[in-house]
Amino acid sequence: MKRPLVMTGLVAVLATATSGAWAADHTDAPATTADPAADITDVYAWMESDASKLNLVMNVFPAADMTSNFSTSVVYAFHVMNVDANANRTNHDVLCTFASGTSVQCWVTDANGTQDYVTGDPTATAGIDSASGAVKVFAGLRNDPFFFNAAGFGAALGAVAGAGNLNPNSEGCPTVDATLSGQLVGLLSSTNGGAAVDSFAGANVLSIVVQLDKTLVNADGAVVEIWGATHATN
Amino acid sequence: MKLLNIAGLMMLASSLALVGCGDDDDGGGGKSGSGGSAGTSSAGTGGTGNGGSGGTGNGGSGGTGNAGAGGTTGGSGGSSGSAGTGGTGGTGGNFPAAPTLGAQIDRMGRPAVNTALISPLEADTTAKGMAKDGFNAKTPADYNDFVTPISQSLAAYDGLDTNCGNQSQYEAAGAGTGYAALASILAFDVLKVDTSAGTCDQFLAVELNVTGKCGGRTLTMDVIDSSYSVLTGADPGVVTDGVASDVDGGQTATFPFLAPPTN
Repeated sequence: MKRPLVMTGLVAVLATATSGAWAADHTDAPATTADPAADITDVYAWMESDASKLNLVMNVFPAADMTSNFSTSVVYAFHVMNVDANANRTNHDVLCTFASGTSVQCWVTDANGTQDYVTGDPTATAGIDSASGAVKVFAGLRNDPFFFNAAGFGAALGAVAGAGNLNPNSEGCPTVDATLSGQLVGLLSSTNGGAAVDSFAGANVLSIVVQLDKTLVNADGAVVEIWGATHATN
Repeated sequence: MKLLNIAGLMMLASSLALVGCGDDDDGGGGKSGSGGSAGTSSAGTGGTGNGGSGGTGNGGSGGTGNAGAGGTTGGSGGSSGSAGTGGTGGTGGNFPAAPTLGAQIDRMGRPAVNTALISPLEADTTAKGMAKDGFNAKTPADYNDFVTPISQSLAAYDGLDTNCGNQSQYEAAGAGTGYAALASILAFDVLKVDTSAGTCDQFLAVELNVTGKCGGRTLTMDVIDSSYSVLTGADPGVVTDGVASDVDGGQTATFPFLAPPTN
């Protein structure tokens, strides 16, 4: 009972990632598939090279085009947890809402209330700045920066499916011999027998880009933990 | 917060009312303490304290209706706030009220956690969809709910390089714990960033205790290859998808970093 189930599991793991619109988190669940403007495809976070500013990106709307818009009934949130020396966390949020594609409001909040705020038309690449200058925001249609050879993954799936019982151990790890492993590795790194192709070339997304002075979020320690979320408006 | 002192001070001169009020109920003793004293003194001098930072943050909400909450927690700051209502809001701190959050629709930290690791064993598509919606409705603090199902998924990947038990963090939590350590890391679905580092060229650097790197995720990080390596236990570069960068996108050096749309 266990073996075939787990072996099927390996196939399923691979299959999960091979549907057409798969990306880092593209269209991963029914509720978000039904609401693409609230469907997060990817979240990015990194420091400027002088370590003064934190850059945050949230992409939504898989395969967006010129007609796609942010939702006016969604709060787009970057949740930033600041970790102190005792591993306690304080919450900071960057919250953005849209009245239209050319009218955004973004707040930087923490337990003390709103720390900074910016509003305006976010579609120019220069972005809009808060009065303090500590927050800059862009929002609009951009190229999807995600890249992945999904076709190779699909081919590897087919090979696994055709390999028969892989005799997984008690933890569910399958037995893959060198021949099959080599075959799978080769399939993963190629597309239709040729050079690997990015399945997301040419795809666009709706992107929210926020640049913050890091002092807005790191008063308690150097490490911050970031997750993006979409929420219904109240 | 510190950067906002100047703006806060500017606002204070004209709207001391806002300094001590609002939801200045933080445990940061310095801030709330000084906010209180600012409130009890008169408008001019009171404003020079750290109340500036509190004022910046709370100006907008205080003005629109959080004064009550501030009054209870802010103590003297709150009461003096009402006394100073004559000062209309300064330009700097008069923020509109921040939105409250309704039901959570989607969430994401690291790439592919929900897509590849949540309930892939579930053959029933309805049940699988419910599991994925369920993950999206939770927060990182709920990570323990997902350690067991993610462990099962990790096992399925571990053998692809012919070796079981060589996945990153295998048994790291002790003998017999199997995939739980990595599952716990991945279930706490966040991007970890070291804000003291400006070099950002390694995915999972903070999780892996690599010092001097910011971790996080840039637009150009090859997270698929990193994930293949971590999941299979193979050395970096051995298991690759063959696509090392986004040929039509990439990352520009300057804001907003993403390339213009294609077509």
